[in-house]
Amino acid sequence: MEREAAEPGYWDDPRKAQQDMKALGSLKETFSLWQSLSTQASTLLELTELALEDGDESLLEQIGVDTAELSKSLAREEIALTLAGPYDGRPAIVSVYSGAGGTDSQDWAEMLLKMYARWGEVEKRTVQIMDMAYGDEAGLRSATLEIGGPYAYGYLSAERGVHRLVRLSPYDPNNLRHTSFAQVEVLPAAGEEEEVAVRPEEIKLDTFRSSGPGGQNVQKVASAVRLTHLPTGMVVSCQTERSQHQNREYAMRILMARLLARQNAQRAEELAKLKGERVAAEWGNQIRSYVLHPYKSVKDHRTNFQSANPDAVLDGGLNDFIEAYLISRLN
Amino acid sequence: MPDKMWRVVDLLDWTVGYFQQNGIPNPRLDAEVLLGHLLEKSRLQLYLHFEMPVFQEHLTPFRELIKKRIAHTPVSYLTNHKEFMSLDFYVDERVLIPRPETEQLVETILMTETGDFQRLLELGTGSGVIATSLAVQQPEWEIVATDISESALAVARKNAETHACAAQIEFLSGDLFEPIEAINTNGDTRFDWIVCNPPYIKNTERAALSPDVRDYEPEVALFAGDDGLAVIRRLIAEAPKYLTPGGKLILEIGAAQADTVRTLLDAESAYCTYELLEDYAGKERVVLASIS
Repeated sequence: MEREAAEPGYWDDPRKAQQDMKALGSLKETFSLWQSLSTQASTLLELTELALEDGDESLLEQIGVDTAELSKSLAREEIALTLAGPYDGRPAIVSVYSGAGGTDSQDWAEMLLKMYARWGEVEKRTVQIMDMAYGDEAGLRSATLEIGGPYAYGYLSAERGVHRLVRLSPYDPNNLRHTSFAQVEVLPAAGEEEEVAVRPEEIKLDTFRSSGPGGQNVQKVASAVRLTHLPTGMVVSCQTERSQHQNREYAMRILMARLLARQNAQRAEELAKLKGERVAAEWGNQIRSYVLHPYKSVKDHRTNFQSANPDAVLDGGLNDFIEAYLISRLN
Repeated sequence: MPDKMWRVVDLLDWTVGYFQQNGIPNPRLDAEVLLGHLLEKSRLQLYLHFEMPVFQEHLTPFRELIKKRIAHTPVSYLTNHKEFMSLDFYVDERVLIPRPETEQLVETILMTETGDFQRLLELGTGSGVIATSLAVQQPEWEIVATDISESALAVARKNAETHACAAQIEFLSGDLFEPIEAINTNGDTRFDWIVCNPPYIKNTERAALSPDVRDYEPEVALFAGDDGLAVIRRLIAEAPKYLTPGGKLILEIGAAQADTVRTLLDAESAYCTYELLEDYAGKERVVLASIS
């Protein structure tokens, strides 16, 4: 690729050139990462031989610690290697929808939103609120975040599905045990414009809080925008404290991501039909249970991976669950 | 607010309840934006730090903010921020708080005008959001912005400086075209575009307005006579004199003023074409008129 880039005329198509350069950059990064891991491994081997020859106990101990660390890094990078899907490297658009059951499940949706935002924070990723619709009493009816950083979609795609919470309800007057559900949707951000073909006239734009005169007569903190994609009837609303201009941009990004997902789902279905297969509906599957009472546990129903510390998981400690799922998908 | 150990989440819950009791329309968002402002955290960061304790140094000013909000001081005056065209602007009691509908004035200009160099006049610039967001998008354009209020111009200048386009916008003080008349002898008094978000609320609507608007925002930016058309009438009559051939006048108008505005435009022979564009709520909101 470097040789190609040095050819005259390479930069005539600056967009392609830029894409190639980006790809080259990430290849180089991956290469140097594995090179460093390999160097570390051979250094450790040499040290082990030396320590064995000299019978140096303290060195052996240090080698043990370093080896454990290295194998942890290796395991992580191996998982990253599985993220080779066409969209795995993209930012993820994560939406949380509260299930039936009023305030309890709206509160549950808010807990999940915090979990993903926390995960993003711990992982030093960019996290942005794109939409937030408050519950009537507490919690959220729905919310959408955009999470960036390396392989954001690849990792977060493991979170798609229904999440179930069992706890003593803080909203129940008798503090009884309640089960709440929330749906998590994870989409890759749509990339190039031509990836999804949308003509401006196919989109209807309005505000869904539009009674009254508007303009100078009304003054509010939030602005809201609703986009309707006329050919499919798909509707996206965005409401935040940001400007209407910004909310429209968010709504457009969400709409493009949904259209891309729809397009891919249709393609997959056609392909499956050609092969005579049946596509399992992934949507609506219960993927994980978080039990806070009568015992404490988080269990993933796809991998049977389990944790006895729901507080840590809800505080963004999701990596073990995500990795267990990504590995299970390999087998 | 009782004396106790407060965490972010307790403060928000308490404030939402208190706002609700006092008839503040969007209690939760207001509470989050105000507390986030005080703690210098985004809304998302507030959610991430629900358990964080809040100490006296912040509780005292937060109490003050709550008191002012209960008295219907607009949130944007308390935070001194309002976003417009995805840019952050400073606002205070000296200027009208920008409305989302006004973004359509800016968007219409940016979509209609393809020329590299344009001279544009904004009348009644207020916080300067229209002039500044146009300048940011079109660095080649020459912009003159006027306001009858010297104190509003101070805010507009500050915003232009924040977005690094103060050199691109000339701010003049005076009533509508008055300051343009004053530069008559040595400057160019004709423009390719004249843009204005004039006051258009009827005096008779005053009682029906929310106290946030009526009791806090500058009257001069809101009210325009008994029919709300006092300034619009002057603009339509006077603008052709200050437009270059083919130049355009673009105005924001009130929700029920379209028919009267049509009559006014029809009566003014200088305009060869005009259209009224709807806002996202389906109300005819933006007037775009061209002279020949």
